[in-house]
Amino acid sequence: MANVGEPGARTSLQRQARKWLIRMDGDERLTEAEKEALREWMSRSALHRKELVRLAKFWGQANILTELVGCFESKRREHERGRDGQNGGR
Amino acid sequence: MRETRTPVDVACSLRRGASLKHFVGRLLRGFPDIEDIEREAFLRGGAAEHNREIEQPKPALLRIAKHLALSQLMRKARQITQYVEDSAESTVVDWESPAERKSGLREMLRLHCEAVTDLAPQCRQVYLLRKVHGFSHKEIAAHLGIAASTVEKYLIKAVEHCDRYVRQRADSRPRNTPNRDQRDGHLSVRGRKNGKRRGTRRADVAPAPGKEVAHSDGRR
Repeated sequence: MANVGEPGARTSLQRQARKWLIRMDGDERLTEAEKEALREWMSRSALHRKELVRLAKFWGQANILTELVGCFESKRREHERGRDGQNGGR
Repeated sequence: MRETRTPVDVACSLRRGASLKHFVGRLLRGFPDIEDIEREAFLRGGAAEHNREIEQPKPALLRIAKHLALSQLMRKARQITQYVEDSAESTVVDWESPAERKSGLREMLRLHCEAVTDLAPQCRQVYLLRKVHGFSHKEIAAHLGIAASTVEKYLIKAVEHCDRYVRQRADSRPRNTPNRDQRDGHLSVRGRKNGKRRGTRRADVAPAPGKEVAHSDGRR
C-alpha cells in the first residue's frame, strides 16, 4: 500500500487493474484463491478499488460496439450489391 | 420475446448517419472472416428458429448475431460486477437512463469506434471479436490460431489504449452538446488525426504467437 501516489506505482496499479479485468473477462471463473487475491488487491487502497471499478465500467460501456455487427453487415451487402448488381429481383 | 429490443437497439438509429458509416467503413478494412462469424451466428440462431421465419435473412441474421453477442457480453458484465463490487457501486452501465439515451449513446459509440481505429491490426481484430461479436477468449484463440495468453495480452493492450482514449475525449467533450454533426460529415475526419497507421494493412497476416507482443505492456 506504500506509495500509490508515485507515478511509477500509479502505472503499475493501472496495469494490474487491466490484468484483473481481462482475467475476470476470461472464460474460466475465478478460483477461490484468485477471488481472495482480488479482494486483497482491491483493499490495498481506495485507488486500487476505484481504478478497477472504473475499468469495469469502461468494459461494460464498450459493449456498445455490438452495434458494429450491423455495420459489418451493411458493408458486406454493399459489396455484394456491387458485384452482382443488375440482378434486380429479390 | 421474439422482438427483444435490447437497450442497445435504441442506438441503432445512430447508424443512419452516412458519416458514421464511412467512418466505420475505414475501421473495418482488413477485418477478415466476417462471413464465418455470421454463418456461425446464423447456424446457432437458425437452430432456435427452425429457419422458418427468416424471409429476409440479412436483418434477421443481424438481429440474432447482435443479440447473441450482447447476451454473452452482458452475462460476463454481471459476473465482473459480482467480483468487483462489494458496496453500492455498480459497474453495470445503464444504457436505459434517459440521459444516456438522448445524446450519450451516439457519442459513446463514436468514441469507442475512434479508439479502435488506432489499434494495431491483430490487436484490433482480437478486440473486435470480443466486443463486437462476443467471442469468448477461447473462441478468439481458436478462430485466429493464436494462444489464449496472446488473446489476453492483446485485450489488455486494447483496454489500455481504448480506455485512455475514451476517457480523454469524454472529458473534453461535454456530454450534453446536441449531436449536431450528425448530418454533416465531420465524423469521418476525426479519427485520422494520429493517422500514423494509414497504409499498414496487414491484418490477416497472422504473426507468430509471441512475436508481436514484445512491446506490449512493458513486461518484457
